Amino acid sequence: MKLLLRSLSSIDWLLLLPAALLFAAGLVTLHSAALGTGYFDRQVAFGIAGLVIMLIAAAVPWKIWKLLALPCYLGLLLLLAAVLLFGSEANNARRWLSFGSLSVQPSELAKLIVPLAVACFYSLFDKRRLWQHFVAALLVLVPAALVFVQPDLGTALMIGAAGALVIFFAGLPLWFMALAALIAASVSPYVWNEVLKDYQKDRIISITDPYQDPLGAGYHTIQSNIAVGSGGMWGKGWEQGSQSQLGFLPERHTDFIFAVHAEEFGFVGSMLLLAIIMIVFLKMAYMAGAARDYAGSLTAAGLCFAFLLQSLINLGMVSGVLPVVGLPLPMISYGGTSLLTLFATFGVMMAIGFHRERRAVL
Amino acid sequence: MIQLRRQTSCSPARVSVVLGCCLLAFALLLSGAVLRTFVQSDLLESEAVKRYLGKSDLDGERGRLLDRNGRPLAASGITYSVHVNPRLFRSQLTGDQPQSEPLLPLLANWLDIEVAELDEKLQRDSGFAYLRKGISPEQRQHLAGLLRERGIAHIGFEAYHERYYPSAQEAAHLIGFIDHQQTGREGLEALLQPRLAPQPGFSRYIKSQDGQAVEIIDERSPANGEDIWLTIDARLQYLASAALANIVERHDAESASLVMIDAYTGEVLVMANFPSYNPNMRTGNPDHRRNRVVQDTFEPGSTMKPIITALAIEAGLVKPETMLATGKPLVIGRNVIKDEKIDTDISVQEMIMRSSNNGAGRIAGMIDDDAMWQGYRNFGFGDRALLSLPGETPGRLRHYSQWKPIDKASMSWGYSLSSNLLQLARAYAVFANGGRLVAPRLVVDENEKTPEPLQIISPKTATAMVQIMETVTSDKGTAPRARISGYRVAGKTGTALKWSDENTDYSSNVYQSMFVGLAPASDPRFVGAVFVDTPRRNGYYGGTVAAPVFARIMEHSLRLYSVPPDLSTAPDGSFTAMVR
Repeated sequence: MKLLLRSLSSIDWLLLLPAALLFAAGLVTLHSAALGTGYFDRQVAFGIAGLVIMLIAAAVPWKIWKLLALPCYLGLLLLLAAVLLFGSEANNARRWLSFGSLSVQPSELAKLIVPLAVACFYSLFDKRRLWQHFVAALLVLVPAALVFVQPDLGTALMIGAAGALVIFFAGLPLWFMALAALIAASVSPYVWNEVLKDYQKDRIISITDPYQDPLGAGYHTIQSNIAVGSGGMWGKGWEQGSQSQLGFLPERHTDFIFAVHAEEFGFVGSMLLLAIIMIVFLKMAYMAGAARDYAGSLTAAGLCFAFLLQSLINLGMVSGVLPVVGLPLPMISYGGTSLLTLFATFGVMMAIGFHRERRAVL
Repeated sequence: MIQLRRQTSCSPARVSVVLGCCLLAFALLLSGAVLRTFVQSDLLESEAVKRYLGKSDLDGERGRLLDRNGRPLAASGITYSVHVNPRLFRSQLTGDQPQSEPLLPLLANWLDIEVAELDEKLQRDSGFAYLRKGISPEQRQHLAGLLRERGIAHIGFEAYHERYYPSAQEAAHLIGFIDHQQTGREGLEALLQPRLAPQPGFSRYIKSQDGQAVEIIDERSPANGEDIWLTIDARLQYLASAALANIVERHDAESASLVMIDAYTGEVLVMANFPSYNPNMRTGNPDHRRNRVVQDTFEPGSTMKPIITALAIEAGLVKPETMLATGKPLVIGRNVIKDEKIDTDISVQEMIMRSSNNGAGRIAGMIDDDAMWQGYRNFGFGDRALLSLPGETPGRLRHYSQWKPIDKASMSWGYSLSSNLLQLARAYAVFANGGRLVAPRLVVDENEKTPEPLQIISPKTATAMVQIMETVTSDKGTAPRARISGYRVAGKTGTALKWSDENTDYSSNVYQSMFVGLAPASDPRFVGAVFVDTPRRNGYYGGTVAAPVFARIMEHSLRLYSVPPDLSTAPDGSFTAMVR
């Protein structure tokens, strides 16, 4: 009872409402994008489960969360390792762990746990030392690498970016960043030649000219471009999009769901959706700024920018500005683990916001 | 103190930097969306339309060509081609079909093709290969049933319209054929293309990505081409082509042609040539595809003599009984003209009957150059095409200002000018119908107003000419073999030395034999003209080579059209003119 009361009082309605609105808008588009499949019903079920998880996450005091950070992080590493060993293979990649009929994508969990863990790590120290950044980088790179070899470039980059944001906010020296940038620039030819897979290179090249290989690497970009552009001002109407309904648009219920949205609801509908995303982000950013605790502030900042960054990357990908990397649009794309993680993220955000550090009354 | 040392929040400056970057990215994205919506939306929308809109053409059927009795000479029908997706076909074999080996011979047998050919096609690394064409709807149904029974997939059928020419060789030159784009290439198929061609329809539909039509949004059904009735009589056409084949073989000739027209209407009942070709196959010598009746010109030889005679009679210069001084040779400049078997003076009528060059030359001498030129032109000689058939070549008649003195004489017996067989037959129709020049016609068209034929000689002259020409088929004439039992026949033979383009001179022993005639002489109905090129055996005179073919086809024509006989045959075989 006490827990319930605490969880209710810890709810930040100003975050829950726009987040729920975003989810609802996503459901409307998903209904259209996934006509004739079971994705819609499953997403609704995940959404309800997500709300529960959010309430629980919000009810857990931030102090506890900080203690949970390490076990969570270790659990994440275990899961990621398990994926590589026992994961089910699809499209030449092992990304899923199957438990009966339920499959989990642990790499999605990393988007929450990595910033949390890194932020909590930094909060252990009052003064910054360079070695801390190296340890933090290691904390980020290990799960990112485990995801990268699945292979899942998009999610690995996203985990890396989320971690890097926290490190950046934690006060990474500027000269160090300049050095890192220099090193990155010098190793990038090697990465291009040796690390990236051919399909990944093709996707990057195809951004400059998708029509070079319209049925291969450029296909996603072209089809999605057409879908977005042909929506016009007001769109073609719900469930009326030709590109999406007639099967031209690939991955339309997951990574490219925004194309469906844009085709059917047009420029105006897209702007409304972007507005909701921005409201959620701004609310999270405000919460990061208002946090009373260093670890909380750092975590919140990392999480909120990760949320925005992933949205932007997805939108850039759908509108053909960025290479096609497999990143779903938060709260909109179909995906159980992703959705649950996002709700959990909101829960953690609420826990941070609800937290009041007991100040020494002097 | 502890509180003061602790940071409670992460670096605000850094957060601002990242926030700024994100907002910048967001702004860029927004401007991209604006660009798409307001600048490129038309382009992208049309791209989208291109992807989901499918269009397929709906073919109508090409019109038929029917003979005057409704028998089809060219018709279209639906045929099917069989095609396979070799890649998918092979994959189904390697899959769950253990006994794939005996399938090949079986399939080859069903399709009626060689096993090796089938095997080659099935081994191709492509997604499409034709297995065979020309499957009838019944065969298709049967084959589809067999395939379904055996569970063989990835073999499909495609319907297309195929043109059939039931009359095959008989009317090939006249009917022509169409190319693979359904466009007439030769003969009437080409001439009548606009009327025969169907108006294709279309169907615009929304398709899904795998090409399935989801919803038809716009459709226009195709309109079939027009069926066209021809003046040709397929029965006579058949008889004529058989007779021509016969005559070419009998006389070892190069070719033979025949045209028969209705003297009053100009309707062409027969237009046949040999050698011929099968328009359903179109293999063999392309030279055999020439419709010689209208495409080949030749010097008409003695068949011109009735023309010059008619001009003289019409001008009042001679009468049929007027005597000509053929007893002595005709001398024009350095040329001396005399007939081999004629050494006495003969009448105009006899001149025609025995085909005297001397006499014809003397008649030409009586006529002014311009009158003769105009007269020949009135009879339809010269450079006017009559039917507009592809490749039609009218003869040549030089203007009289370019004539040399000997030209005028030689033109009276049909050299120094050229004509095609249709022009010649049409000129004779003038005698048959009472002096009018009809326009030959191939198409029965009730709506078409044919201009009233021009009267070019008086009915009296025409009748006189028929009477004169009737003597040609008498025992004393050059063509007794043109006679038909029960009918009086008038006509004129022609035997011309063939001009050799290679030697730029007349060949000494290469002839062209012709006969142009009309019947019944008492009230002519049909005019027929026969031309045999280079008969090498069994004679070469027009009366020997061409006249019998004429007689045979003319007889069939008269009897098929129930033309009343004007001659009763006595039991002893002699003929007696019937008074009508």
